[in-house]
Amino acid sequence: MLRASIRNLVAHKVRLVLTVLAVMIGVAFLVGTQIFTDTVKATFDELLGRTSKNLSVVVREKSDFGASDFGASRQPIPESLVATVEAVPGVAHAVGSVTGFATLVTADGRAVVPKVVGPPTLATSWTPSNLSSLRFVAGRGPRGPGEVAIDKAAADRFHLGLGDRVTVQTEGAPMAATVVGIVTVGASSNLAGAVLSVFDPATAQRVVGRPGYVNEIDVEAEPGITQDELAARISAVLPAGVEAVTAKTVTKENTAAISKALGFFNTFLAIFAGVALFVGLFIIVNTFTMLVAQRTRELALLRAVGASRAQITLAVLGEAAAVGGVAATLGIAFGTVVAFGVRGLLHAVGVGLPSGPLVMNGRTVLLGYLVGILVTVSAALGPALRAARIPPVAALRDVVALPVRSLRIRAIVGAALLGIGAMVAVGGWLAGSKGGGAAARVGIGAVALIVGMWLASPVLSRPVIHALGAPLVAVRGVIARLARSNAIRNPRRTAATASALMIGLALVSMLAVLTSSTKASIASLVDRNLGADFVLQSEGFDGFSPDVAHRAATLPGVETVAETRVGRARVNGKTEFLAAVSPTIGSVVGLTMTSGSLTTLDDGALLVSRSRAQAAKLTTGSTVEVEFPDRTRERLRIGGVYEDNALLANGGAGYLVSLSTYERHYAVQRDVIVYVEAAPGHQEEVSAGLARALQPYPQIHVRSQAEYKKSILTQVDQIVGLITGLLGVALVIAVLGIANTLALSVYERIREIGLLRAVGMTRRHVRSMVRLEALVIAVFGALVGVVLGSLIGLALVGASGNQIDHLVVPFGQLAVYVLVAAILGLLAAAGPAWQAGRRPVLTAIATE
Amino acid sequence: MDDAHNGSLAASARHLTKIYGSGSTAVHALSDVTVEFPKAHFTAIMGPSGSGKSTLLHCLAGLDTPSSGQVFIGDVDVTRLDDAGLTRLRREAIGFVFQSFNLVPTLTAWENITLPLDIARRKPDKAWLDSLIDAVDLRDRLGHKPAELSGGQQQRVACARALAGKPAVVFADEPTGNLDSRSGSEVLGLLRWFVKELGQTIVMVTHDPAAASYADRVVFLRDGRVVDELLAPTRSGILERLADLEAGVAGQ
Ligand SMILES: Nc1ncnc2c1ncn2[C@@H]1O[C@H](COP(=O)(O)OP(=O)(O)O)[C@@H](O)[C@H]1O
Ligand SMILES: [Mg+2]
Repeated sequence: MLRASIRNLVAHKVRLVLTVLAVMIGVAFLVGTQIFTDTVKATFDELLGRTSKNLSVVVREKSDFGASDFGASRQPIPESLVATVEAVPGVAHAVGSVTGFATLVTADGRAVVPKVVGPPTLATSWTPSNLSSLRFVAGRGPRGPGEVAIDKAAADRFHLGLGDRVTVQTEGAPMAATVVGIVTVGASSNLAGAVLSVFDPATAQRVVGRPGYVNEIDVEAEPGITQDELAARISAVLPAGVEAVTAKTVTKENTAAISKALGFFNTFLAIFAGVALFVGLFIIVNTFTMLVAQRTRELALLRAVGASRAQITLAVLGEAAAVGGVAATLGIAFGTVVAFGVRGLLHAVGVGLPSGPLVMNGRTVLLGYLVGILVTVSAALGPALRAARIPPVAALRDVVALPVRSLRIRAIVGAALLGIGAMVAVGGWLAGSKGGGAAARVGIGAVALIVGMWLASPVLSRPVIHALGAPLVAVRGVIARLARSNAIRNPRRTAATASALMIGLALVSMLAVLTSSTKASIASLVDRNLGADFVLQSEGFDGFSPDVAHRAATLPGVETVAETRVGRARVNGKTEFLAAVSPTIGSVVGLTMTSGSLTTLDDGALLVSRSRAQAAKLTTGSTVEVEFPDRTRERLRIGGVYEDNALLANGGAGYLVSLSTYERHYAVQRDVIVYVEAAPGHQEEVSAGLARALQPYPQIHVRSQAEYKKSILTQVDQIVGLITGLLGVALVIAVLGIANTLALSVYERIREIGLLRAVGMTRRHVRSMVRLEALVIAVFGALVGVVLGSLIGLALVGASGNQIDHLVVPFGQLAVYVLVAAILGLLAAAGPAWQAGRRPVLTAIATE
Repeated sequence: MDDAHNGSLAASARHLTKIYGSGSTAVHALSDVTVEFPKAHFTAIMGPSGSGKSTLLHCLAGLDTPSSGQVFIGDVDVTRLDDAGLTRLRREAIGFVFQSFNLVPTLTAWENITLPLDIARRKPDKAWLDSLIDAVDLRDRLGHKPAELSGGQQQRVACARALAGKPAVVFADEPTGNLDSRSGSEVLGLLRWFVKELGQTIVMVTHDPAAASYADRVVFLRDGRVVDELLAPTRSGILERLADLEAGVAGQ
């Protein structure tokens, strides 16, 4: 049995190549993701672990507002605690450190910002001690005001060297400084993409902190004292609201924070690997179905000479396992390439990761084999069971056909799932206006729709392909007619082939509808509501000094300036995002009050969005208890309720407080967005004035309404581009599937092709016939996918409620997808078509 | 060669040799075969298994290339045609009936019959097709797929298909090999009718004396050579000659 199986695999090796490729790609992405994750973890474990050799305990404010920005958003603690901690028995050494946000501006007026939007521009203090993770690769540590060290990645990118002059932008007045050192964070050239500027403690306190306060205290233990023990001892002497945590905990937190920062990539690649493997399933099913069909007589013979059903099944499954094993091996090897690619990609977007060796865990290898083999074997299970049902007598029959199961039950189940999926999705769609789990309902509906469509597609393929082929038949005559009937000859196989394409295109189309609608909604939102003539934003999300708004306010021609700051607070015990705004915010973002008035927004007042008010049952005139990050609680008076407004603080803050309330409770005062409205007819003047006044702040973009709109839409486009690119690989796998199916079909139809050649078909005709078959299968899969994906996209738009209030179906874009699928189908047919055309007529006829 | 003679010939082979393989394993499937097939004649080719019948048919039909010698369909030298020329020849001048697998399973009987015309994009001759369909007696089956037809019906469709384009010659390789005797004789009667009534030329390979007796002439092959010929054959006459052949005493 085993020998027969191996011989069989070797005999069909060409045929198996495409199957192996399909599995390989999926495994490669899975393994690549895993290698990358492990490498990042190892890198940071090492980086943070090197300091933890000395670092035992960290003392810090006990923030539980869940911000994960390396502690920059924690409340500072009194510097006097350093002495308190140092006095604890077992403490060898304690160092206070200060962290905050600061932007450097080069002498030629460039802002030293991260390469991509996202990571912050951090400022930190440095004290000569063995507790710091900073390594000076050039120069020395900063020693006083006017001295700064910067991370190596930023120094390289902005060509900054020792002795270069820079301006330090913080909340307060800008400070001139000289670069005296270049640092790495452990072995990394930067901290997960953030830009780092380093000051001596006193300067750090002055520019980003508060004199007399530090953000955390790093503690070194005396020999023989465990981290836990020391943390417990220190905790005992700390005031309320301050905690002592072990270095181990901090390392874990930081690694988690970094993983989360890079998580977008990982989640994405993992989802993608899933899609790839799922699509690969169809190809494996097809291949094994055909391998079994081709060997019907051989398998029957084995049965006739005494092989049991189980033995036949096991033989086929064994073959699948071998194929999966080969594919997994290749996939694991190729996964390294993927990991390199991801690291390269991150490097390209400015996240400096150490270029050390990639970490390939045993677990990763195991995962690769497990998934590769499991996927292949489970896909081959159906064909293997069917193979076992071949009766021994089939060996004696002249013409053997595997019993063809009726498609009826499958179609009925598919139709039922389609119906249920549609109902659930539409339910979610309609629930959108009421909010609450609508998107999840659409998601469940979408899965049911896709599975249902897959089940129903064999039955659906006949009429659809018939209709699709009609224009081809009109033009190409009998060649097209033959191609079309070949395509629907084996509906199960055609459906499996087309399904791979369908899934990829459904995802892409869903995305297209979703983003087109989002973009239209954003555009109209900005058009309708944005009253401001200019929007001031910094590169990242870490904001800029309120000084900018003050400067803008004094410019001639400026009518209104509105500031926005953001933070977290606990309203009625629930952590919420809130924004602090100037009372002038109303006109600039088109805020409409449903009750109360914007003028009530003075110190001690709270305005609530309509959806939040409904959810938290808050009414105008009542009071509510709010807990701020400084650990104080205050009862705020609800001055009014406003309509949800997506423009507020870049995404629709649910609560608004006055700037003075914010200033009382938040350590850091930074505007994330400033709106400027010019007096009628003074736009030009204000534009020029802003350009001049903001010269010292090159990190701030002054955008007109149109530019603001464009900047948001560009962000959406970038995300779409990335996702579409990755899904493109799923399409490649689908194309492999088409090539696979066609190659097998051509092989099966050698005699028929010979006959056609004998009665006058040219080689070119034969090739056209195969290509047209691929074309109709591809277009069928693409069309079904596009239609399904668009509907799911529309349902998702509906489910978003008023967040996306425009339904846009980008017909042009969807048509391009179908066109691309058609072209890919034709490409996939190139090999099989060549094979089919190449056959001499006689061998085709003579083949028994 | 006397070209004047070719005018009355539908097909002919001159000094045809076909060698498979080379060196010690070489097989002389055909050795210096010269044979002529007059127009409006029904010729049967007979011989023991392995005598080169199929090889001769394939070379005549331009499906296989001879090692040496010439093949004419009408006055076209088939051995000089390239693939495109051969394809055109098959479309315009040759019809085929194979032993099995004659029909495209996805097409109806009617579509199979008109397949060569459709491929060549030729206008079908309605009256001609009508007479063919009446002859094969399949008018009520035209919409059926091959799988829904009996073996005899399938072969009759194949016959109609072979003649649909009014070819110069129809080649049939064991057309009744897979049929029971009743269906077989129906098909053979049909072939003879095509020759007698429609003036078609048919060359048929068979090993069945009863089948060969429908022909106007039988050509006997042995070891790749033409060894005998019989005009107006009867079943018993053929059996007699075959017995001589088997015995190795080819009568001349
Ligand atoms: N493709 C081939 N390769 C090698 N030998 C062949 C091939 N086709 C036929 N032959 C040999 O040529 C001889 C004639 O074969 P064939 O014409 O098929 O005989 P028939 O049809 O009379 O039974 C036989 O000996 C056969 O084995
Ligand atoms: Mg033969």
